[in-house]
Amino acid sequence: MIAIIDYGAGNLKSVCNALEKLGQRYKVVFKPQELRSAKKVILPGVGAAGNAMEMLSKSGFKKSIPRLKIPFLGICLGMQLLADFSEEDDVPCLSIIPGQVKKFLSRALKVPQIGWNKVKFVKSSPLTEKIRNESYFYFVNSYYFDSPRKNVIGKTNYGLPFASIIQKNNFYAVQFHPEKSGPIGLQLLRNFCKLC
Amino acid sequence: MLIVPAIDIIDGKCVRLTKGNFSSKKIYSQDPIRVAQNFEKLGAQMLHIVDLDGARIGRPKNMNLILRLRKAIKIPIEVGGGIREFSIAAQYLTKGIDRIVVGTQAIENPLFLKKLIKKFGAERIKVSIDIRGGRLAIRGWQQTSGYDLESFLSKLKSFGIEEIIVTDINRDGMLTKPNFSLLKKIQKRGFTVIASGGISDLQSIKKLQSMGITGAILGKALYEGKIRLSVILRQAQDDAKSDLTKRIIPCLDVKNGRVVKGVNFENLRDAGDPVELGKKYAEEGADELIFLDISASREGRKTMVEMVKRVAKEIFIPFTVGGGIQTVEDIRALLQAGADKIAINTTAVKNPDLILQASKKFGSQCIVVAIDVKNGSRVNDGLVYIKGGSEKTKLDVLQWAKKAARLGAGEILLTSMDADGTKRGFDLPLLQKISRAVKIPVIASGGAGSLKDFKNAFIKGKADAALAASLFHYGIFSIKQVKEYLKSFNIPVRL
Repeated sequence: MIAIIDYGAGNLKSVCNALEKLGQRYKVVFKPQELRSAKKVILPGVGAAGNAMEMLSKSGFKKSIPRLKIPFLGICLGMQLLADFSEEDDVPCLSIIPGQVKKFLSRALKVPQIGWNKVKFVKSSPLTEKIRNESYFYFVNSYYFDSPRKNVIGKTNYGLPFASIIQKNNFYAVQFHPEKSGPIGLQLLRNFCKLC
Repeated sequence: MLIVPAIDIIDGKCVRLTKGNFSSKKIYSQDPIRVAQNFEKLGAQMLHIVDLDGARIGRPKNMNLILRLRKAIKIPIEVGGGIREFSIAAQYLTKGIDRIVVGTQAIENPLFLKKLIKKFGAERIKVSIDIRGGRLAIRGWQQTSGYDLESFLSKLKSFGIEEIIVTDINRDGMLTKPNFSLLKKIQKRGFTVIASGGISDLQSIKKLQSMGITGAILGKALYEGKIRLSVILRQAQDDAKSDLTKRIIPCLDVKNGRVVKGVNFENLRDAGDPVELGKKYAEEGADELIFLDISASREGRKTMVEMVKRVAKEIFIPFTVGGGIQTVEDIRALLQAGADKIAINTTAVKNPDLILQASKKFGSQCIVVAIDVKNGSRVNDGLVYIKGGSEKTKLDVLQWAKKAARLGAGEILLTSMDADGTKRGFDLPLLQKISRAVKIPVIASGGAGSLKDFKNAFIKGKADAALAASLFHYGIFSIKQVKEYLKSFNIPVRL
């Protein structure tokens, strides 16, 4: 069973729909105890970092997520929450993958970035199997994860190159929305579901 | 990052100083206009011109030369030095100078700044902060003021100034490195920062870029040949690159849960089924879908939620739902059913607070403000219409678009009623005007009739996405055809 963490923010529905389409069993969870029976965990996310951290703290997920040993996937805000710190609302985050979340400051480009952008794979990962390098994924973000190269799996250009796929041990994260990125996005989710 | 070559003028000649010291003057050219033309030829996108005599004596001394220079090149220029009176500033700004730079007077007389912003708009006024040993310098850097940087920044913020030129005088003309920590400090206060002073190698430029500095003013390093403008420009461009694609969005009109109006697809069992049609478009390469509810009744709208649920289960690209949405509860219901974005039009006009409420609750990214406009390309009288174009409002389109963005809209769906249905192309002046004025993406709508229209929407209109309905429904072009055409003009698309 894949646990999808509901922390009050975000649109979980599309992640659920995608897993359903892939024929995966999932459960939307509200309490850390519910993670015990899970084989994998997804932290989806749309919303703001400050509020999200507050919710994770209140519900107890803030303590339990870093201890997880099963495959974990952070999506969009769910990726940014894995960092040390976010400029959005100036909050400390979960400190699972080293890095800072920073705002796009380009003058020439619109913020938020909305639309399909290219992901260049810089390292191989089971998450990107059967996906062509430089494929397009759907992004909606005003902030990006500034991560040390060591953990970067995929990079994307938006004014500057930023990490769009990262991984450290069992923690995987993507800045884009695989659940909204057509067949390629579904393939990425399928790859995640196959991890053990 | 914008690379801005500087031309400093003393006595009609192009010079450089060291640390702002006038006795250190070195003349590089007798003819600043020639220098400007040369920078333009090398690909500079903007120039920073300083009347150094003016800065020292408090009124322009090389204004005529600068105005002639203005006429001799096409790229925008910003001018500073001795602009301490409103009338002088106005003279520059009405005679073709794109932006002016004020320093001393912004510090000593904030009301002057306020008045300028009111008359010409904050985007044409740049404030230059010159720092020497942690304090603000004034009068062509000849004096250090007693003003405190922090409180001065707060003041600028309250006036609506967004962009600041920051110079560390002790590094200017020294060919060293910029004062990164100073720049960062000002950036942290939420300003867009243009760095100046001491930028002399590619490494510094790269670092500035990675910090998110939006522009770099270069002086001595260029004149002394320490770095070549063409090389840096290429460098800056590469890093400013984005691979984000332009979006093509088919729009489907839905009535009582069924797609209506001119759908002409072969091999579809049920051309009126939103799911089947949406799927078809998604497979063809649509980047997003928009479903517009044209049901007149409450019952009709209820079926919309059911439709959204079905679409969300089967289609895995983003889709927007619009039409008849009135409350935060309506929005919640549609988002929970699986819609990615909600478009609001009439209600947003009647109750702008809904934009604020909804964007706070659900995030800006899912709130699209749809604007229908007539006479949109005229400067000041493009009027917004509501209720499906049947009711005229008193809102000016530019003001309304800016306000919607300020209230938290994530995107603007801009429909020109004049162009809609004509198949003669999008309203390009309107698009350009709105696209430039707001920081959020703009979706062009109304008037698509040929492949070229899409190209123009992106290149001339600066749109981020383009919407079409009948063109796709009647199979005049496929989405793939549109995208292949755009690609042949180097417009980034997802194929």
